[in-house]
Amino acid sequence: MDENNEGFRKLNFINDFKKVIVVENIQFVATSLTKVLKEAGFFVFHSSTGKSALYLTQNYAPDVVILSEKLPDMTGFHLIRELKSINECIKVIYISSKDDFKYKQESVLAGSDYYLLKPFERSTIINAVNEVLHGGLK
Amino acid sequence: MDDLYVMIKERYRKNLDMISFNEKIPGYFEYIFKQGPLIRRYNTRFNFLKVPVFSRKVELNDEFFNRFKSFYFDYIVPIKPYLKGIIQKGWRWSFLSVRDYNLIVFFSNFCDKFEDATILKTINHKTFVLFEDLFIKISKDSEVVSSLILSLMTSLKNNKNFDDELKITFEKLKAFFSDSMIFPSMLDMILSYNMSYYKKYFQYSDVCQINFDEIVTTEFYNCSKEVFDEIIYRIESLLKEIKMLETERDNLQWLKDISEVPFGKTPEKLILFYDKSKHSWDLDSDDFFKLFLNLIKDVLDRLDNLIYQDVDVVETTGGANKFKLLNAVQFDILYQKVKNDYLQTKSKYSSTVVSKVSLKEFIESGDVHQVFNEIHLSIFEKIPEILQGLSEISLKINKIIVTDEFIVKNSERNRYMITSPDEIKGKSPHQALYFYLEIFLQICGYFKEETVRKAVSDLPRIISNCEVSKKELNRIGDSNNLIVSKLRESNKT
Repeated sequence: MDENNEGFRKLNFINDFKKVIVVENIQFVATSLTKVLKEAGFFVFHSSTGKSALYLTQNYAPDVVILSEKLPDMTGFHLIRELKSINECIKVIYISSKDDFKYKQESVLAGSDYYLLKPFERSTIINAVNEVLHGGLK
Repeated sequence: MDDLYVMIKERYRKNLDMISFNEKIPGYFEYIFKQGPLIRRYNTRFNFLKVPVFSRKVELNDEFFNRFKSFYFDYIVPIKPYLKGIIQKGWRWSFLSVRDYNLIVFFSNFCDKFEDATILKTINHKTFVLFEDLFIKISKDSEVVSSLILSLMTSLKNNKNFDDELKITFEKLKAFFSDSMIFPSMLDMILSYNMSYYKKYFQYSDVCQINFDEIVTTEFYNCSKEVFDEIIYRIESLLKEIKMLETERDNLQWLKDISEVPFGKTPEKLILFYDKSKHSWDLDSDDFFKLFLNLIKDVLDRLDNLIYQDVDVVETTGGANKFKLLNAVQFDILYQKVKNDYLQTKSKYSSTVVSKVSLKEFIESGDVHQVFNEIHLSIFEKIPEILQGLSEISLKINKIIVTDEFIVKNSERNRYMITSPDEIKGKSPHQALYFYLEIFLQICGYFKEETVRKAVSDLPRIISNCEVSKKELNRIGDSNNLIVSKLRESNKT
């Protein structure tokens, strides 16, 4: 019953290490997103192309990928499909400026877990990441 | 605690109306023509009253006083000395419910009031009213009398104070509270007293119409401040005990979840780990020693990496770094011991020709002597020590994380990500250690290492102790949990 006994102790916090890849080729947007996410405690990678995002995904098993619709080497929807084929458990947040129902529907069909309309507040992106990590679909 | 006592006392106070005959004295003619003759006729049975024909001066005679006092000495005095002790300790006894305890307190109050009423040479009306109120409340419901007597008897029996003499005393007490078992009964005396006081005839039905749902509260002990303080002390101890037991339970449950492979199930994590090193769990399963030695070799390789090789990490800031996950000073001796035992076992295994014992046979056997012959046993000799060494290494890894002695502090556990070696690439240093901890402990669990097995087998006892303490807390705490909430609140602040 001694609190300082030598037995095994439950480790609670092992799974709070969460990795996020930000796929964005506009530097100032990427820098700002990365900063906000780091401050919120996430381990953040930045990738400016779809190809490097796929490389990072294969090697570092991210929990969440945040990607922009316009990438220099592939479309956002194409990247989502590729990401999900590597690991279907990866959560994808798709950032777009199109407030169009059909377009949103297409992103969901491609496999995105959250559709985020530009422009957005700092807190919105953190909430979005937390929501997808807890299984929400928006 | 004074405030809490007052609050609880107030919250669970049982407010019962006072029973009082409280009649108006009849007029002269009503007395002469109606009440007087009725009282005279009643008095022929017991002769407790002096009832003049032309005057309302009805008085109690000496026979009443003598009988009243003898009731006290015959029925109450033999029991009274035990009440204080029961009230002092009764809340601790699981066989005594809150209601039982409160009935005894109620009875004790009654005894005090009865004593007060007998002390004076003449009957004081105020004192008598207090006594008759409690008497009627107890005797009104035969279930209350039975419960009270049973509670008293059980309390004394459990404290070895019960003998044949007391058994007779309790039978007499039962009769004392009945209106028909002794003649005249206490109720007859109460009626006689009130006839003398109010100059009016009363009968049983005048008393029997009064109804009560429950004369005592069942929500908390109606106790003194002194007993209350003892209860609070016990509740505080139980809260501490439960907290510790719950922590212990969670730790053991975690160890069980991480180490135990349910009977008949395959150890998936171990298989993945084993097959990574170009072995095949399925193929090697027909030879327990081969599989076990391969597995331990893989573990030693990983430990070698963790203790003596750097891992590459990147930081959240983008910088790269290198460090060793385990400190050689802390782990070297344990590692070398496991390695030596492994090498000795490997050498014995390689130099001996033995029949194969499958992994299944080993796992399903309750005792190694059932599956191993003498030669097997000589190879097996060091295996329990290898497993014990692995369990000690696991415990040490667990400890350095819990006590924050790890090279990466808990507050910075999400700052680094490992980029090399491949097996733990993408994990934080804490996750990497946890990854190996899971494998090491599952090896201990699967291959029946004694320390882990014993610790896990203690889980049912801890769960049971926890339940027992919670049950006691529920029993002695108030029904609305006000005390526990208040204590938890004050512990937080």
